[in-house]
Amino acid sequence: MPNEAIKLAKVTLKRGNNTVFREASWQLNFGESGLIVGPSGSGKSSLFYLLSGELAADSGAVTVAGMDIALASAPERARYRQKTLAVIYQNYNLIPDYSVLDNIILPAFFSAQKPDKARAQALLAQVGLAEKAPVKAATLSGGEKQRVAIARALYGQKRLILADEPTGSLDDASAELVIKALKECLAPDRTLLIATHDRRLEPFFPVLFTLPRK
Amino acid sequence: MLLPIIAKELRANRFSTAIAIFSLALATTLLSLVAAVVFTGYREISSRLFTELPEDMVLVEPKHNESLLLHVFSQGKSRGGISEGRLKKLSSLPGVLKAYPRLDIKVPMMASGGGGIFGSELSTELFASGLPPELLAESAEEREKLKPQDGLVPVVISPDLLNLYNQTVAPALNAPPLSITALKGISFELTLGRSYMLRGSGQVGRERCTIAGASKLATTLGFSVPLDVAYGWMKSYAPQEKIVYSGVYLKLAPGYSKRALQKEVEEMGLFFDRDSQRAAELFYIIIMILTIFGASLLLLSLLAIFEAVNHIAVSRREAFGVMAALGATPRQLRAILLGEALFIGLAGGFIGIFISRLLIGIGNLILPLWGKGFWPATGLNLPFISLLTFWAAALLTALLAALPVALKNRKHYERI
Repeated sequence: MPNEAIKLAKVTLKRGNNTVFREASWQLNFGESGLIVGPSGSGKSSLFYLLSGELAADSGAVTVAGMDIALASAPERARYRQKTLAVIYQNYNLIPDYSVLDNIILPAFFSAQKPDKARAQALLAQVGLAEKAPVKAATLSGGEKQRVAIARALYGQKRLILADEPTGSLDDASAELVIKALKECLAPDRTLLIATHDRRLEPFFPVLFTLPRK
Repeated sequence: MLLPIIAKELRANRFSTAIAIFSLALATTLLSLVAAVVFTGYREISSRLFTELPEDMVLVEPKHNESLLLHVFSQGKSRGGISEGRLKKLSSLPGVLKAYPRLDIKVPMMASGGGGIFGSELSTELFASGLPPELLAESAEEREKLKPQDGLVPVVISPDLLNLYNQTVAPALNAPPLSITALKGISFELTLGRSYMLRGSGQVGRERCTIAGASKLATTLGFSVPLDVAYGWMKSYAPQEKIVYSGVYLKLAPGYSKRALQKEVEEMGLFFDRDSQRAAELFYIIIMILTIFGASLLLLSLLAIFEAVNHIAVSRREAFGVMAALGATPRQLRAILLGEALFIGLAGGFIGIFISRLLIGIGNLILPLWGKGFWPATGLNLPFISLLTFWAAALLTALLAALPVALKNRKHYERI
């Protein structure tokens, strides 16, 4: 497995009439973690969509863990998400009518692994939600949902975790709990990239990249 | 590995799933019930219309047969029947052990009697045929009883005639049903040479007859007598008639292929095992009708399932999007959708068949009490293979309904 986590080489991305990136080049190795900061509309989410393969660049190459995302087929992108990438979304992206535990172990079913409920339970305890395992995800608060999403990202033991505005709509108390959970994601061989405009995260994670104001 | 997810998705879409299962179960129930009625009807009709012969026996018939009526109305000019020459040729065909001819007795006749059974004497038109004793009685002891004794001519009746009496006449007369055992030994007077409808050209005479037994091969609207009796009556009452046979039963050597014989017989210009062919044609028609009916029913339920699965796909698009973001391949997402359809097919088909079997069982218990004489004695039934076929059809319907939905959403899943 290459040590290069992310590499953007002269990437240009346009969304409508806006140019989000113009020939941007950037590189990050596994083990390096931090923040991508910038105001709303600066392209933070677009960068994440590029890295997760949900968006294709207009030009240039986006390589993640050695794989050129743009050239990957749909099954290859799926395998990349199974093995390498975990995403923590601003809107949590939990399945509301599944239980918390089921939401965490869900990725295991797609990679033909036996679901490890004990490990999922331990991760829930790590993020302070051990007692919430059997409840439906729809009944959780925003902060709780985000922590479940973090536990899910940790469950897969992926080397690259992208968190898109993880504390975006949370109060200070909830944000503190989420930040604490995010710190659990830090590891020497893992990259955690957090896209945010929330300054509450800056004391805890280094700023890797600042996206310009439009 | 996707089974737990399919189960969760089914739970999440309880309402749509239930509607789809219900519509499929309804279609399968209706189809099974109608099929049971049709198959039972076919069985009843074919057992009355077509005589089932032993495996080593086959009936050969002329392409132009003639009934007594036709013979009389054509003043004997109609041509039909199997001649002595063709009978000899049939008996010498490879694989044929013996040829048993059937002689329709072309003599008008009527019978009177039955005072002891009906309370008053009855008279009726009759038709008769002559058959070798081996076809009229199975055991040597029974064949002994087919020899005329004490001036009584033994006759053999058809069980179908007895069933007809028991199911129609007996209830109308408020008389008890009769069995062949009860009828054995009953005698009646037979007038030969004329009847209510017809007058023969030969002499008129009377014979005393006695019922000696029953055989499926006996003439239904009358009786059969041993062949030599038939020859005697033809000679006495219709001496001008040429002896031609209305059919020949061929007894085949063990293991001899009927197909090989069929070609030779058909080349002689004769029908080979026409009853089986007619039964097969009737069965084929029934299958065609049932297939069209079944397809129509299942098409309606297919539309309902399509709507349900489409609703599931649209309402769960967000959930499927999450799964795709977590690494589900487009194929896995389609498999989840088709897995749900598979469950709908299995459950809907099973429930439909279960309900139909339950209704048939209840019907078989209750309806004979009302429909005496109308309801088949063996009740409604449906072969097990038919039930399996309907279940498979239900499954296929559900999968066919879900396939366009899965394919329609393919582009959406692959975009993620």
